[in-house]
Amino acid sequence: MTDRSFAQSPLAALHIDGRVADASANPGVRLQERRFPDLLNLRIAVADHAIRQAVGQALGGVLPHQANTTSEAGGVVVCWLGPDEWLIIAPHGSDSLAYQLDAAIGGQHAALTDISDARAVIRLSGRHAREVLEKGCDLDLHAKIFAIGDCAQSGLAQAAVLLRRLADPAPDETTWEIYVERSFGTYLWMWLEDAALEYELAVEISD
Amino acid sequence: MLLIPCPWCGARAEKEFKPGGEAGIVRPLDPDALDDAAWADYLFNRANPKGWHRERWIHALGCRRWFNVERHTATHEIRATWPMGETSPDDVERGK
Ligand SMILES: [Zn+2]
Repeated sequence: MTDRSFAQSPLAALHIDGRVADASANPGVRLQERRFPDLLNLRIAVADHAIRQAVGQALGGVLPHQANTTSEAGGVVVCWLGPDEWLIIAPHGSDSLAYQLDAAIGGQHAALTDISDARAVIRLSGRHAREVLEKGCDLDLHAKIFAIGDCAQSGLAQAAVLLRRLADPAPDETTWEIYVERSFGTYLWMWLEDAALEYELAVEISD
Repeated sequence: MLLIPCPWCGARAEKEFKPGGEAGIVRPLDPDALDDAAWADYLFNRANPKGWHRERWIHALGCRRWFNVERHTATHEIRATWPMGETSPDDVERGK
């Protein structure tokens, strides 16, 4: 994982922090870049319950078994990506986590890949956040179907994304994180801005 | 647009998937023992029925897993999907 002082945002060319002052007074949508979380892709054979258990313990909880759900413990979020695949999202600088997981795997058949620098992460929230996503995504994002803590991989405006729903910041608002391949980040941010224009937009300082 | 039930993710839009042709075709264990006609049959010839058809699809934009689909080629009705390496729900019922 890159030293933070060397890391460059995948959205650097957009200079989004310089536009925070342009925010509308009563924005229906807020956009923010989440900078440099540590991202680990984990694959373990479906039937290998022993490694699953060991890795789950190292993560302070269990690996989510149910499709398209997440688990969270100690600031680390684990997203279900497939029956034998997960994405581990940890705060920047969680270098020891990879070593702990490696120790839990203990040389057995599994794959742990650092993909921290391969993704752009965009956080979208507000009263109209869901409507913005619905303009470019076929998933049913209604609160009854896509619950807080759920995740799903799908297409958003032709880009392959992992979508994750976070806790509502207010009763009439929703919050989402979008994980997209780094080279699609700029495009997707611009698409989101365009889609959010009619609801009044605020760009928030990067997290 | 079809709504395809991925065995893991549930019903998703067709554009998240890619088709992989007829299911259940077994690669010959010893290709050298086959004559050209038999090899060509394995490579190219497919049942192509009008009616129920077992085929492979991959949930390309979702969980990226291959799975089996039983689809009616005229009506597009999908009556079963099941993971690779497992027996279809129909065959389970009939005790195959
Ligand atoms: Zn799927």
